[in-house]
Amino acid sequence: MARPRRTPPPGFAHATAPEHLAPVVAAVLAPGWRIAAARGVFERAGAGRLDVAGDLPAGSRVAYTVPALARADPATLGEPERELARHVQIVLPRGADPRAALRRVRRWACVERAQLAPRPALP
Amino acid sequence: MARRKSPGFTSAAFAAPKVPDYVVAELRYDSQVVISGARGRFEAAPAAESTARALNEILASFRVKRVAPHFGLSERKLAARASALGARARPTADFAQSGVVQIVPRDPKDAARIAARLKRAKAVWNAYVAPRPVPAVATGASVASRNFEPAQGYLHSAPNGIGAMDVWSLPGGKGRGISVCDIEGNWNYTHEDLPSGIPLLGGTLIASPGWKDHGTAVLGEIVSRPGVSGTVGIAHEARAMTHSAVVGGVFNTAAAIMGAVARLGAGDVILIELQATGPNGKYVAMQYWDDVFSAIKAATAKGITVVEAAGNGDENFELPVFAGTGLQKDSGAIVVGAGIPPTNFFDADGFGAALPGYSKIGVPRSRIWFSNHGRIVNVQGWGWHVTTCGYGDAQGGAENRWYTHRFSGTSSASPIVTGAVAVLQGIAKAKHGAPLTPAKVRSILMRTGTPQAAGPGVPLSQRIGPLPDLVKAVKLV
Repeated sequence: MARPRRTPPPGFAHATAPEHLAPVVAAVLAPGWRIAAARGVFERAGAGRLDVAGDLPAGSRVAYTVPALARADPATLGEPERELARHVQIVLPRGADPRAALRRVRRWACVERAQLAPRPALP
Repeated sequence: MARRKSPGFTSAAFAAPKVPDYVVAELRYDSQVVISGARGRFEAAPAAESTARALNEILASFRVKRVAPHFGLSERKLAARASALGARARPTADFAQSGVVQIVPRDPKDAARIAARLKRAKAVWNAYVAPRPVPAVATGASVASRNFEPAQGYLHSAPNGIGAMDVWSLPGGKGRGISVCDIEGNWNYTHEDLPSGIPLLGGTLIASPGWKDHGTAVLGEIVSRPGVSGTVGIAHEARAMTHSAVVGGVFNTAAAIMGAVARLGAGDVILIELQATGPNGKYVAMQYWDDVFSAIKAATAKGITVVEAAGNGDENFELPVFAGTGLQKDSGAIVVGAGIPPTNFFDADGFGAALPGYSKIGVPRSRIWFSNHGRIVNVQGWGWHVTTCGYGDAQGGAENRWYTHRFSGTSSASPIVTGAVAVLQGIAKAKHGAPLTPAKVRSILMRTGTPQAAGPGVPLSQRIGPLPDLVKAVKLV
């Protein structure tokens, strides 16, 4: 029987991320897109809506990374804040495979780019 | 029986035992000298005979009643010290004990003079008059914690430390008027040496002793309270704040940064005490992720200096895989690598059995092997042997009184730089009525710091930057 392959440790940490925290895919919305009021729906003025609820495991949710920025008048924000206002988190249910979700998220028309969100450890 | 008053806290006078004063001398591990209990003198191989003779001459200048091994080791074990010398093996208990010598003078008044003479001898690491113990009295909380300030070498003058103590006397030199927000996961808010009322600005605490000790240690380096017990923070007049990186039930470092930004102003400081696994499977700095990068840029654009741990992945940020990512772009943060401290040795019980005990780590101020490195890494701090609050290896007992001598990593390095930033900004505000820009702070620390050193396997091209030197830095404020 083949031995399971061991992944080398990523380095030295004082503590790692708690297992109970849900996995997250981090995405940046393409210009003009925003999260609609309906659950699992994105919308863009003049371009209709994109319902992604069926593309995610049950229990997933989508939220702005920094909701306060998404609500703010863009004219009051600096350039880095406007950029940050486009960031969203796709929060998956515990135990879901974030890599599979990432592959699907990258296909959404409303998403400019996406990556697995970090699970921080203590340096 | 003679009675004397206690020199410290005790509930009653105590009876002084009829034990003569004596001297304890500790030979250096590499002194090449042994003590012969039977002959009551120091001895050495011919090559080191002059060293032994120097010690014996000191003893001969006093009326000495007895010279003996302090731990009563047999002649065989004492002789074994000679063969172990130079073996460079991990010292055994017998080896360590064989170098401790007890000298009993006929006249007790000579004890201090003998100790002073021996202390100056090349072969002696330390010599002192043995203490006269008194029974420990159960006094509960009235017994203060030990004073760990002497072990906080990072406070001391360059090149070993950052010169914090040297600038405390300047107006604003203790960080007054500056707020510092630490972003990680948990803290011991009731630790005896931390200021009371440190707020949690937002997020959810991670219920884990490891996370709690870590945050406590970080705050201890920056704001632990001055006094005769415990530690003292680099910028102990700065106002500490905390923000958990867990926001909305998930890790959301960008939201935590922006949550802190909402409560801070120009001149204040945010510390990001986190790392996460990058594309090579190694820990990298948090600005690798786009949202964190943007959040840091937003913070620095408001005049808030962001200090960020480079991470402990032994990762090279110059690799092509990082092209176009935050690890090869300037977020405006001060990214901090971990350097080897001047103490420069592993503890026997430090970081697991895989590391050899009491061996040298490398060259002080060179990159410690786990520290990430690259052009975005601006300055370094001590990555080992940082004395601060928490963990309990230096002082145990109740959790609120825990201290450590072994905080480490880019985790221990970053608060050193954070404290330095708060000090500089405090001085700038006191002097000019306004803080420096984050870019100016970073530039000053990089230009005036004690340069990074090269070491075996860690060339200067593996950049972690200089160790801040506040004495030089304040001249540019």
